[in-house]
Amino acid sequence: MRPTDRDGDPADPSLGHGEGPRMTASGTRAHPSPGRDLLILTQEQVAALRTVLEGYRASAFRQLLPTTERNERLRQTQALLGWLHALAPPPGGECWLNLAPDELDGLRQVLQVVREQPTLRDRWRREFQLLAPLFGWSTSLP
Amino acid sequence: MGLLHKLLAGRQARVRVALTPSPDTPATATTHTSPEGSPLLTQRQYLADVPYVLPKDPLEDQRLNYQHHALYRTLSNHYLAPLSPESTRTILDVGTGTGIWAFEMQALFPHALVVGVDVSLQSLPQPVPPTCVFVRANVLEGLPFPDGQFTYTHQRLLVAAIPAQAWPGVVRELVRVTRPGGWIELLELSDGIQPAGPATRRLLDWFTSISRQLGFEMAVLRQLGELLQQAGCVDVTSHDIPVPLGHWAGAAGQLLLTDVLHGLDALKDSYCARTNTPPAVVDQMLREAAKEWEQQQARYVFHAAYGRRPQP
Repeated sequence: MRPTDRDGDPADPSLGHGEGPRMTASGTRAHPSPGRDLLILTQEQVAALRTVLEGYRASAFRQLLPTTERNERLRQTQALLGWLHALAPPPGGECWLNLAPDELDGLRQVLQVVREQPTLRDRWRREFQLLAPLFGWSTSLP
Repeated sequence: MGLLHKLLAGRQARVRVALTPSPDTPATATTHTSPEGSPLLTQRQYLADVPYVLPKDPLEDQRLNYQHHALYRTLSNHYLAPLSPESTRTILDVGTGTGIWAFEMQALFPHALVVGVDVSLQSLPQPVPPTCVFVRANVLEGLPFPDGQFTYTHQRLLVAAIPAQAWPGVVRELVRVTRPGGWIELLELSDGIQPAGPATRRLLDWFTSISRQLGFEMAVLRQLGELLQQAGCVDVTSHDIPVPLGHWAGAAGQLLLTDVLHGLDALKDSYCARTNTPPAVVDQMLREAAKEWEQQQARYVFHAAYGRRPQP
């Protein structure tokens, strides 16, 4: 376990971040592989995910204090945004993200946090409707 | 070093690469008192021939490192642009200072070449670790790299080094050296502390009005996104990031408090001299403002923006 300070961040910010990519994406180098989860995304879903993740990050910055959970979600969000911007599905076509189970869990957690906040949920209602089939949500939002 | 030589091709005349301690010579020295008011027998050292109003000495280097860690604890990352490891091959850090950000980025992107640029390389650790390359150059005079060399160009906290009227040209220069499709990211502090009580407003008004007289306009820093757009960037995203300021906020707040107090204190002597203000008056303003930050759980607002150089 890494040493942490009272904000819950790694004492050495560089620790644990140099292993290289774990998540892979279409249009880069990888193919779906065993033990990983494949998210197949339309162009609209890529845009919707970007919008929600960017918006989540902006709202997290406005939180009064950093917390361990928030910081971990921000790190996950940063990595996901990098991959989402690298995706370039052709018009009308699809692309994919190949995620390790913990990466998919991280994405689900970030989205869940947003869905549980009425203001954010309403702001991105259209995006959540686009993403609902991807994550098995009911199209009628909570 | 092959890629470095390619990066520097045709621009060697204005470049010094940091392989040995820099001979940069501090210009002036003044006596110094700590932000808490106790006298320190420290001489502050400033750079000559550049419009940089902060000192360049070990105490300032320490402040820059506090600032780095305070930001990391708030951002949880060292960057905001949507970088992917596979496409991030050459990283440029403009105003690299102590090189701390460059070293962290090299650890995050071990396959990337990370180049740091600064008007003075004297703040780098000695001997300079070989993991990054450092080049002496002044962004106000143009960067010593051909067009389109970097997949990610980063510049932060140069408010005290770039006069307001120079900002558009500097941002254009950052875009020029970035590869089409690559990202440019800017991060600056503001003149905004929220909430701001009367002592805080008095303190900020005093510093910003003198800064303005010197040509450093804080308002331009609220337009980082616009500057990127004017320089031709696309996919521009802007953030206001309120960073906790004060002991009330744990480690992140304490780090930024130290950074802010020492930064303002470093400006104090030269600003007092220009306005015939007794330093004790400013010390009192600092103490009263710091008390407000604890009572009101203040946050210092940073501005960040990133955008992409368009594909041709």
